Amino acid sequence: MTQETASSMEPVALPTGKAYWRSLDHLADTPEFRDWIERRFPESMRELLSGGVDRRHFLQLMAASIGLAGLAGCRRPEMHALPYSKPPEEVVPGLPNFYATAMPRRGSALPVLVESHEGRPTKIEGNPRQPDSGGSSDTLAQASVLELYDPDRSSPVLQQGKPASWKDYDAFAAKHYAAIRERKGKGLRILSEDLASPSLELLREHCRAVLPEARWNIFDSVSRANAHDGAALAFGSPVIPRYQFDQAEIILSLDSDFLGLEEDGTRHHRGFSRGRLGEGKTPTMNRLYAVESQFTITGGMADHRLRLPSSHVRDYTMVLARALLDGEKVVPAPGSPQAALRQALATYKPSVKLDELWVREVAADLRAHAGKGIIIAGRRQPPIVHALAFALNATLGNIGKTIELRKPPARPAAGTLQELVQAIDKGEVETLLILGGNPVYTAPVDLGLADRIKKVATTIRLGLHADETSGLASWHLPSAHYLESWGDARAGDGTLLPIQPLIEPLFDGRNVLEELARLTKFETSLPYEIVRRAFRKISGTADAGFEAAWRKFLHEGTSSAGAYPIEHPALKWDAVARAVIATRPGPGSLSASNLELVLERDAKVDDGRFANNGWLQELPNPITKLSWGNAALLSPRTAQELGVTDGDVVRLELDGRNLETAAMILPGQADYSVGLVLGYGRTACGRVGQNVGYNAYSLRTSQAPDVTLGLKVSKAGRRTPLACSQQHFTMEGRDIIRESSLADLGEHSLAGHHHEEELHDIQTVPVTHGEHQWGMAIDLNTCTGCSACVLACQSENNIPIVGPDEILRGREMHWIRLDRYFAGDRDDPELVHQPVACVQCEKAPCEAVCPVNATVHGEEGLNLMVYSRCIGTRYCENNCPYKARRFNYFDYNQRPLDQLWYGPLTEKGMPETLKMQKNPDVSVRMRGVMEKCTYCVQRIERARIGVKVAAGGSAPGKVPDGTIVPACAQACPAQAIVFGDISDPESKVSRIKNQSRNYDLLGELNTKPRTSYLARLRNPNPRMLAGRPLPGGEHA
Amino acid sequence: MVGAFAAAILALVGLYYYGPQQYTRVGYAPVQPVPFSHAQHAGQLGLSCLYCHTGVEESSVAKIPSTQTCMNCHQTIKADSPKLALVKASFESGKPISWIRVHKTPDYVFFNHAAHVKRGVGCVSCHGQVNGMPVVVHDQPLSMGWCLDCHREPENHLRPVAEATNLAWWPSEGKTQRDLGLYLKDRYKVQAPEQCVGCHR
Repeated sequence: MTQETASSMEPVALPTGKAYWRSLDHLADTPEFRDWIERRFPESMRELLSGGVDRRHFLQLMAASIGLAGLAGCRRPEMHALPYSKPPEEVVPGLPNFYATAMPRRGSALPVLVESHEGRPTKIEGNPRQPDSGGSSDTLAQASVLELYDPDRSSPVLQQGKPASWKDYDAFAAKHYAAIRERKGKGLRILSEDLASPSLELLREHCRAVLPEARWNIFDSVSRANAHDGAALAFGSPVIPRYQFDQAEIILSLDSDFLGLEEDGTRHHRGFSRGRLGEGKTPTMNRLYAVESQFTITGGMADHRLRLPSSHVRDYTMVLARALLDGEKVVPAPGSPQAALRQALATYKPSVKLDELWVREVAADLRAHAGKGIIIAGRRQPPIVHALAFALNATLGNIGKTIELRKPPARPAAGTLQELVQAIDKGEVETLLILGGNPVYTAPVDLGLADRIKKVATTIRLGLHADETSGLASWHLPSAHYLESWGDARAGDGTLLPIQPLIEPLFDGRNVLEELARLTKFETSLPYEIVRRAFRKISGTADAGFEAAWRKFLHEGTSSAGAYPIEHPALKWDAVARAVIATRPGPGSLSASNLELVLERDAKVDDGRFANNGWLQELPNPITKLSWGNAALLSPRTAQELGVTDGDVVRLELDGRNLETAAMILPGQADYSVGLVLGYGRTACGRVGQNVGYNAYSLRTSQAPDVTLGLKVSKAGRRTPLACSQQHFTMEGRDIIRESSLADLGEHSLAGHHHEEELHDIQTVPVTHGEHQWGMAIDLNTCTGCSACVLACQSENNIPIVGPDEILRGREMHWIRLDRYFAGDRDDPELVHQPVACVQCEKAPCEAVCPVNATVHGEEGLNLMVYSRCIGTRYCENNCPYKARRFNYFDYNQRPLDQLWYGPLTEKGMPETLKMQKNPDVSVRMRGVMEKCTYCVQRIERARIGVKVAAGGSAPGKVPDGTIVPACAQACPAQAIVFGDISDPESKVSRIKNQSRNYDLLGELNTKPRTSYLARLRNPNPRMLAGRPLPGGEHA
Repeated sequence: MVGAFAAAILALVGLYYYGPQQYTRVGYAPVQPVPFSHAQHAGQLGLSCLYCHTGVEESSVAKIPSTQTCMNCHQTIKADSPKLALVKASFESGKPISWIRVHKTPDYVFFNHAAHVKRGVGCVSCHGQVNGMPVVVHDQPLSMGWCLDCHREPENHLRPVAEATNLAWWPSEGKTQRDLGLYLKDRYKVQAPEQCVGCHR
């Protein structure tokens, strides 16, 4: 019997076998509200979730129907079609709907549009109407849809670890909370993360009014405290800087991965790529100086990169500040605050010798571009570095031009985690309510939070997964995912963003707003009503226009309300001067026996919250290309001195604690600085993330959560395999990456570089006659390697994950391979990323060798892959020079990762919720079938069919340029990928391909690929060229 | 030896005749849970195909009507008929009626109704004289070869777009289907895909 889609078979119960009830059941007060809710969500899904027919019954039904049909049983098995009973208004089966919502992130939220097929969200895209996203997104947003459907999400309420029901909890909570309310909140502590949500603020305010004795503590595993303190120091008020990278010509990054691991990465990408290369006869390009210890994607884009341990960046900043201020034309009057700062800087003695060029020339360059520069300090750096960065920006006149300062509304003070621990020790805490986060896993190890929580009488925890924190809680409540919740958030500039649900809570989760509303007996416990109240309050809309404004808010996914006001505070020079004097110099030279440990959040699993997300685990880290785990990153020199090689297990010893981790050598890492990302080594996670990697939190203390000194590394005497998808650093003499400098641009075309000889035709192929001819251009100058395209492709095209064992065999399934190339010095290389997917060759080597014609050429230039014909000889994969084809060695979709090789008579299947994520417009491939990038042919066909249907009885025109956007192009925050019709000379892609930077990858093979690349440019400072590798490979 | 040879030939002939969809699918007429008669509703009463199958002009799926569509009339007309008991139950409980699906292409085929109905292919070309069927019968094989027969020569089956749901349409006096088809193909610029990706994605 074949496994058919949900529309054609009887509904099957979810694997847990539990009956699910609508979370809003108890809220069905008004018939209008119930009617409204029922119209939003499809009846068929309700059927699925209410536990319909279980497997045994279904098999009986099928057998019975075959028996009744008699000889008709020889035909295809009987299938069912289930229409709606009462259809929702806006759902057209077969066509997706798009809803605007926002993904809550640290401090702000990323506005997204979610594609929903018949009530199932399947793909996340950016919201083009909101400048924070501009239509693009990032890896975490793309992967969040899988998190919604994660079958390991906690489902029943857990009481002391044993399954209970919401009824049990509500009965308990009614009594317990009533007692708390009577005591005015005495003994209650609420621990949450720092969420910028107006509706949450509304409830917090109410909480303070109703429960004045209760305390709220905020703990963020990745803290922005240094930046806030630096701003407070420099300006006297906690302003938030917003960087306009598109206005900047010179950017200095002080240990700040502003394109990647710092916040606002999507918006920064957009701005930075706009400034990367201008149009026009004499194009200009911005220049990025990066001073960092870890190799980040920001460092990869840098024109100049200084490898410096994070603890030395302070020294560098002081010396640079002095050079910059001393070189100012206008000398401040003696005794003035500016003079005091200069004085203070003059007395500072750096603990290490810094490169002269880096101080003098960078200062000169910044000064030359005063008002058009940005100096940005990273999260890890102490407040003085941030304050100095602001001071220098102010001196250069950048504030108000490239840097906007916004003042967030005052928020009520909240306690820290340390205070909570102290309160527990004093016995003041009887009830602890933990909202979100995973503090037992992420808290600094010296606080001993786990032991403290055990001392609290009642701990109630609201979370997505039953994780390390839930293990210690009296009650674990499943939380609703953001795609299942009503809520709101703020964009980076403070404007309101709606969070609207696309599906009813799949796992019985409850919204955090609802829980808080019940606790404080807010006037309503419906999250929808709470969000409306918050919107009304912030937007200040009068009653008359409220409904229209509200609907517009939900439709656009953005509003103009709530923007933080732009401020122009004066810099407090004397405060900064005092802080400079109080700063101790850096730690001096580091060595192999005195190393620095840098702990950072992971680009994929963040602080550990996404550890159970298979897509993120399998995604190769943008810089290290490591998947399924983390490793201690050492520079080649450090590794050499310690005698460590790739894959050795090393013991990290710090302050009496130790951790054994794998080691990996990363060229470009600062010497004597060891980097380890957080978020791995989880013990209560789910089947995907369990025990993957090494837990860096075991070395993290509250005094030094990011950068610590005094680390000792020794070999543990064994080795471990590293699932690194890119071990090779050689291009075998081919010019796969073409690079030039801005100065040389236009001197010679990069297209026909090095190939003057006649190109041989390896095969002849008839000319294609289609209406459009599709092509794509990828700009290496703006591609940072963030990998949003890889996950967008995985999400859109139903690409499965394969697990670490298969990655070690080189069988990853990602259609886009982001190649990372180093260039130059072993210790101090430059970095280039190149996304490679099927380039749709016009003279495709793969088409010529398929014995069954499963891959043929389309009329519009695409290299078509027909899964139903493929018999799996893999000759095409062999013949592809780009190695862009992927083969399904196993049934990755239906077999668990540890049972891939099981035979045909064993049980197999995909969890029901994971089936819901699959895109219905794309085949889900079985074992034995080849697949590859298709230029998102489902989107192309949707547009072409759309044009035909619209034309009806007349001639259909061409699809307008820009209508079809493949998933990768849509997700790319740098807009590096452009797709369109190359037969139209006015299309964007045609104009891009006409640029002199355009070249074909492996063009000498004469495969005539439709995807071409634009060469990478660097814009080095002509006064800092000594010792740099030139694009051709020689040295200056 | 000769017997084995003859048996092999016979098996191949049998496979050739009994194997393809022309034999296995054509004539499939399952008994539905609710005895809905197209002959009565679409034929006698003259209901348009589009009244119930609303997806046909915009989406890939034609969509089987929801229970609400049935109840539009049957709330009052024959409200207590035992034949409509399941419909009433579905409307009240919210559970769908479990119709048995008659026309279905394999999962690796992505068929789009709107691209056909809005471009001059009539319902009757693929579904037969539904307005004469008391029980829906699988009229055409819907095999790939059968689809390609039309895709390669659409002039043999095209009709004016406005007549798509007119199950009784014939080319007018003096015109052959082929002549009219050629004219429409040129006028509508019909480009029925013959490349694989037209249906297989």
